[in-house]
Amino acid sequence: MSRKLGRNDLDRLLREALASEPEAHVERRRDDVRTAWARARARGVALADAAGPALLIPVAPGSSLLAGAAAVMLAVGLALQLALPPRLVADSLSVRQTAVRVDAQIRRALAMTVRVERADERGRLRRYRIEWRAPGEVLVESDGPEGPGRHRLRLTPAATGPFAPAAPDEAIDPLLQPARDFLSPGRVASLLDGGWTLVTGSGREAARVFDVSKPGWRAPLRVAIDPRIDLPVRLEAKASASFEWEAGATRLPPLGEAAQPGR
Amino acid sequence: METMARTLKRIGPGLLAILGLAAGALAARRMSVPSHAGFLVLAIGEIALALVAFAPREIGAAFAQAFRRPLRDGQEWLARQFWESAARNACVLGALGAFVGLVVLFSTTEGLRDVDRALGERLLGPWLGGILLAALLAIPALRASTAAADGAFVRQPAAPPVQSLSVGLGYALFAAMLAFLLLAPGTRPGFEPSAWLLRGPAWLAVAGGALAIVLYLGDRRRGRSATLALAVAGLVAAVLGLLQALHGFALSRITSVAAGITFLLSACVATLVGLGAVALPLEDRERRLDGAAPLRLVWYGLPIVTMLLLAAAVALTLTPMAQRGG
Repeated sequence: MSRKLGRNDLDRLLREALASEPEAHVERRRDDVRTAWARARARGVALADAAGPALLIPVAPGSSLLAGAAAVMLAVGLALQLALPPRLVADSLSVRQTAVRVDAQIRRALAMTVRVERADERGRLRRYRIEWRAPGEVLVESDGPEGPGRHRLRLTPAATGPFAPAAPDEAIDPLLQPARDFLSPGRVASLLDGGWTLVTGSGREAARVFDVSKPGWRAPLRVAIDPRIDLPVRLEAKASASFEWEAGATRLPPLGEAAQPGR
Repeated sequence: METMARTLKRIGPGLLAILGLAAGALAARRMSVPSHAGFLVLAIGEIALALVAFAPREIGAAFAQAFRRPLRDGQEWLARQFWESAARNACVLGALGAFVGLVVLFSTTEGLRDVDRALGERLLGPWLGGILLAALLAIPALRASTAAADGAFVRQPAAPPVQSLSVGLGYALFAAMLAFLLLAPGTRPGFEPSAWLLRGPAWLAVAGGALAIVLYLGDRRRGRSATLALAVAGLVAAVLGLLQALHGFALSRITSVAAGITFLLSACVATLVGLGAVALPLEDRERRLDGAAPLRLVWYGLPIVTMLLLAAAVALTLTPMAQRGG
């Protein structure tokens, strides 16, 4: 327990501790301490006992408060982290994940059939049916004001990687120009290589609709994604296109023949 | 009158920093964040941190030492400390710039548009710029000394007088820059840089952890304690975030991945901002370079480790996650 100091001891300690201070100031401090001790004696308790357990903490003054603050900050931080997931960031991450998955799936596709409708400057509709088979064989059937057409193309796959030169734009029949963005999965992927925004849809069952925009485009491209296969099923802009995809098939039908059910 | 002047001198830097913060927040509402925000962090941060730790007279002397003949005595020592400090700050600010650049990219675009090129420009650009700048700024620190009359090459000067105006200006500049970049509005909810980099739990965990370590080290006022404490607390928090993100990735749970990535990014940014705003200026003002060798591991190693963690976050964001169930 604490030991009470006598008046002589107190004077000696104060003299030693405050030796460099001016005399008047030292006297004032002595008086303050004497008064405090006298009051404590009158109540029958020592100052150390009266001040409670705070004085018994063997660390520098203020440390206990800071240590408590540190512990509270750590605990609150970790508790909030587990309790409050960042919903808005999760939503934006989910959209980005969809874009990444769709891109990967398109580039993995082995076959696709696209039906494209596009109006020319005079509002006349032209229809295309594009069949693509890896590694780049394309059959395009078109029908419109200029009459029906049938084209067989062989598109060289573009080299990939940061140092690959830009792929030369193949000379394509002017009749096929309106549908050139749909001639291969790589071109469709390039078309969708923009900023994605979720319009409607969530979960695994319903189609999710996104707007894809790029600098220089007047209006966004509206894309419906089938979440079960992570591939676009419909696309609306100046042209509208609907897709059928085949991925992971071991044997593909020859060009021009419709895919057999279950294949 | 004298008391008022003394009080103003003491609280002046804090007031200026608050004004800078408010100005930066206002600017963020009115101006769009430049696409190369990472380089902005590097350039403005260097000036701000130099002003925070060194008086303008000392900065002038350091430039004189670099471009004219080598100086003598205390000025020589000071110039060396200034250039080493500038090189170290460039490393830390380059990493901070990379984090800001990545998040500005993520907060303005969705999908994959130009993501590979943009990652190179906005993430690697500021970081490599910081390393290049650090290498350039380190050259004057290695310049040969001229011997003093008593034969000593380098003599440590006394602790500098507090230059409250330049310190305040430095803090105001640093605070304005951070507020401008981090409080910028996003294109949509969830796209604000603050949602990624100012996640409260991460900042609380880093601040609380750093405070606890400083108390344990028992030397509250020394910059070295603060540097070490921030580095340890920040790395532990960032690794916890990475673990949570990896766990979410394994379970295809997007909310866990988002929580983990934002925790990781915010913890790294809290650490780098804490180093820049608190620990490194404290170290510089102590005017001590003796025994700094172990700390150099933190100065130059920590930005590299945070960049590795950032790369892991980018990989998690851009890797397609397997879809499972609903």
